[in-house]
Amino acid sequence: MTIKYYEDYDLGDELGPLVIQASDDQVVEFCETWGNKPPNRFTSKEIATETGVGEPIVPGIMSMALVAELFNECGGSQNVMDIDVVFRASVPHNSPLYISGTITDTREEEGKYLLECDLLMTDGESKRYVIGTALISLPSNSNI
Amino acid sequence: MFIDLHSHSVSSDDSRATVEQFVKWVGVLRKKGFTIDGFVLTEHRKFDMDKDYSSLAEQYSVNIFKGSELDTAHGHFLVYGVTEGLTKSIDFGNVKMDSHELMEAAEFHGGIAFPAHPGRFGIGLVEYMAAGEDFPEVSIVERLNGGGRAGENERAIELCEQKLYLGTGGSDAHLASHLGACLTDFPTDDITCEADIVQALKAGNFRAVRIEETA
Amino acid sequence: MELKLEYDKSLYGKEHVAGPFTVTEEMIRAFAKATGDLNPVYTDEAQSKALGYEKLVAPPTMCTMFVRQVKLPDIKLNFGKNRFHAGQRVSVRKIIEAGDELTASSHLKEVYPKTGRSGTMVFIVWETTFTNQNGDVVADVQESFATRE
Repeated sequence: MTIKYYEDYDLGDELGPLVIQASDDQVVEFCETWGNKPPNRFTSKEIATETGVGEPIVPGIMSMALVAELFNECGGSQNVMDIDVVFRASVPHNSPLYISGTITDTREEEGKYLLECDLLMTDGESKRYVIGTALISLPSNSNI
Repeated sequence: MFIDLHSHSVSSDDSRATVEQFVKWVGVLRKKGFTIDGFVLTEHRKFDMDKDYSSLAEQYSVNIFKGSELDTAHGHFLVYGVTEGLTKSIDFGNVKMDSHELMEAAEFHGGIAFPAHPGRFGIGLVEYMAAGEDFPEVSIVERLNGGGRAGENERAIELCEQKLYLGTGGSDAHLASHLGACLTDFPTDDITCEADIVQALKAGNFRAVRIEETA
Repeated sequence: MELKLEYDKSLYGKEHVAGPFTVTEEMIRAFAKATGDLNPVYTDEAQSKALGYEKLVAPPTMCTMFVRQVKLPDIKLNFGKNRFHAGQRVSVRKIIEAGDELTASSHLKEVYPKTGRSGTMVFIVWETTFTNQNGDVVADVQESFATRE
């Protein structure tokens, strides 16, 4: 993974889009890791219909993890200090998910070099699945 | 003047943008060659009477106005010119309030209230009209909304054309980088306070634009 | 026609504790694999160490998996049937690594109504603080759930 520095980014810079999908198998694997044993409303159409969701969807906590992967393009998602998302629409399985970001603030605070970033996960058109923000901390090349 | 008449700061439960991020984003838009003279914080179900953004506005040379977006039994309504009297006569937190009473109360207290995103599926004015509800008080609606899904702004535009409604523009920004996507163009340089916005809206001389039209 | 919300307000101020949960290497690798995250700090200890960490690092949002292990009480809301996850915030205070033992403490933050494309909804917000084996707060998680009419 390439090391990125705070100085590599400016207000208004865009990240992504990262285009990914959450397959049925990935959602099953995620639910198993999470301890929410399948079949459940995230993996079974029958249970999803019974619980009013309609189709099996990607769990919110998995959607948030997918969004955080955007930061692997700037040094790694382990640099995320704060991530705050709103689920605006159900995230479907097996469909392209477009994840993008926009830098909305850059600042140095208590010795940390911070970027504020708007986040968006869409269907590639006008449907917003997830919106949110993140705060990430990057190294500064002034410290090299 | 190009003013974004619909935005939400972190004071709204579902927004993630601070007012400081908004004003910095105005700088980004201006750097890209677009024009934005100000924006209205239309917080959900509340009016931030005590918040004062004048020093931030001065620092970044941008007008910051305050309004509200209220939930009603007939969808969301944007309210401008909110006064203490209006906040006492209407419960801003009541998500089932009667929109007719809201429009009447806003008018009585010197403000104005009109439907936000009327083409929005499930909650826009179009849905309530189709169900037979009559809205004789409405003459303005939000024509362009930056948060609209495919088809929703088209339904709003069709409504404006059918009913000869005047139309405003607003981004409905819940993130800093969405501010200014849609705006309202007022052919004046004299809007400096919320009362001026109400006056300009009542005068009826404005149009909804997208940010690309301001370059 | 005002919406009168009723729920168990005595829950405000009460903490609901669960854990400790052990963060294992297997768990970190499985989380990264299921989410398709190819970041080597989650899968390769050598690379993680090369970047200055002591062990495998847990992805920043992984602690959210443990929130559901807290047995949250029914707030006895007099509204809605279907509940869905409406939003989530994770504030990282300290990196979580393999071998950490986390304890979760959750409390009810707020309950409020709003309307949207899918009609009237009521939002229930819970806050959870995670503490590690040394007593350090490692993350704060806020989750909101909406119930629909």
